[in-house]
Amino acid sequence: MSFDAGELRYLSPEIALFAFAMLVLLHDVIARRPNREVSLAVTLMGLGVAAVLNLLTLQSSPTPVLAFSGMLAVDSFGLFLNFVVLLSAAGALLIGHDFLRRVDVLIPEYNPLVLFSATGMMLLAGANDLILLFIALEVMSIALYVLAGINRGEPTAAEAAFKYFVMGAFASAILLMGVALVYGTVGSTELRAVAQWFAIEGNTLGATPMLGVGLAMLIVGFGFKVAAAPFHMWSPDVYQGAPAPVTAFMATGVKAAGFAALARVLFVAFLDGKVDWGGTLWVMAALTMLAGNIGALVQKDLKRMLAYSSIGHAGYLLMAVAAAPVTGLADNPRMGGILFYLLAYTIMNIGAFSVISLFTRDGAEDTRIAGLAGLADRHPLVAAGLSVCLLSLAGIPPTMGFVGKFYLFAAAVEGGLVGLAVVGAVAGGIGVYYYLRPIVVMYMHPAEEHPVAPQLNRAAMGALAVAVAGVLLLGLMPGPLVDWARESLLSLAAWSGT
Amino acid sequence: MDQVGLYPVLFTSAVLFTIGAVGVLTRRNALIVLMSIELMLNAVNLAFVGFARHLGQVDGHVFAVFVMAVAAAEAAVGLALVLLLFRHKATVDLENFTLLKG
Repeated sequence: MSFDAGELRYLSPEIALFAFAMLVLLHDVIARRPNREVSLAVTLMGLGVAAVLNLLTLQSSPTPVLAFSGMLAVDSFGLFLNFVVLLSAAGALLIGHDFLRRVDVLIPEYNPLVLFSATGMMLLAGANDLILLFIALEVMSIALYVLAGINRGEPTAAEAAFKYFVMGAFASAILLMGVALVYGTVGSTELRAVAQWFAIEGNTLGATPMLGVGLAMLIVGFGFKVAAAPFHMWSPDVYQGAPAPVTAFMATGVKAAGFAALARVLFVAFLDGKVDWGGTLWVMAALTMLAGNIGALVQKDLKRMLAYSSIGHAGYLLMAVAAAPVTGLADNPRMGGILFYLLAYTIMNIGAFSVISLFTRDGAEDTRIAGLAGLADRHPLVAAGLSVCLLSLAGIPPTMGFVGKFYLFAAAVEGGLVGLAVVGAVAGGIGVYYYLRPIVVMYMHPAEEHPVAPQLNRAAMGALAVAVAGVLLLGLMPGPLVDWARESLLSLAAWSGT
Repeated sequence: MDQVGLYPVLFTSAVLFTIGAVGVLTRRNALIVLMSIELMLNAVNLAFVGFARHLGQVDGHVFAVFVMAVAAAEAAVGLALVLLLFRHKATVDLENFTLLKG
């Protein structure tokens, strides 16, 4: 084992993000009167620099590389998800800028905390060792616990933050126990070492129940983090109680990073004929899709509805993951849909939350669906933007959400999981109903007597415009992105050899 | 001195972990919930150290130090959140925090 300083270049996006976070933090401490616009500009610049460095890393390492004695995998899978994380962070910052002023949370730490959390997410996407994976998970989560409770004066936010903390820490502990059991059996926490251990004759899950328990605990831990049934109960409360921009970040960034880590662990370490986790994920995916989409039907609050919708989307993603043990990665070209969908989900959710963040009255959020009534007459463009994002979440063509969902279902069918795909289709059909309801309210219901006036602002409107453009453009011309997503997913096969 | 085998260590770790998990799920006092989480993490540390000695490696010992550092950071944020809850309702009994319901 040796340390090669040159390998630090593989970490340059994370280092840049962290450095900019420190810079913004310092600015807010040193400046006598911290300027929020300057802080936002520098933070966004940090995201931009990280994105450029990420692109350079992608171009300079065309073949997957392992850095830091196998701790970090530098492959296009991780680098693709780094872009998704950066996009999600940019959305959270733009949505949050004016929102936090309106709810009177002028805490300058918001921007750096988002960057710290994003740093953790990026490390999580590249973690090739279970210990790095755990630390990255905590770097991401601890910053998010603080963010969820950043609106200190709001009782619901405090409650949501504590619930998120307890469930998050509980999940981390379970996941960590899984790591310990894998380490105890295999003698290493590197993902490839686990795969190599399985390659040895006679090493099976049945012969060592300890490893089976470890794998189960890893899946449970990830299940909590990405809000998959039956470990999803916390997420509606937390998503509803946390401030809208933070909810947007939690829903998109954590989901992307969590699925990245789940997919990497399962595909690299456990994608072997000797381990059958496909059945477990089959059941989880079916439960998750149904729980999310049925739960959303009766919701009266937009954030809570989108929380259930987020559970449903985790189910669609799990459906594709469940197909992997059947076909392997290389023989299922649709599997890239996982990456495509994570990007699509991030873009459309950022769009939806940028509209939700507009609805504040007297310094408090008002996110009732009924509050949208008559929005189409008062602000036709905002209503149209939200409609596009909701239709995309529902998976209606010609949006990005449709293309993504198509590939997820295709991946499942290719893996022979036709039954699961049917469950998914039923759940998706239910989903269309509740996604259409806010649209109906916006366009057909008369406005309330004292309607909540949406507080239009440039930053959130910019995020909405970019999201809508992205959803439509990438929905109409998904070709290049689909190819890139497929190649990125295939880079994982370089590690597992399947 | 007699060597303690791997299995007594793992058994103790499993018992501690279970006590912690049950504590998180059933206790209604926020501080006890926090302590239960710490107990779970310490159970994992014990397992790491036990495995490391069994395997004759240093790695597991190092992991335990990592976990302690992370647990300290987590406890700091957790206590701050408990304080936040206390400032709203002047209690840390979780029965009183039911604003968010489906």
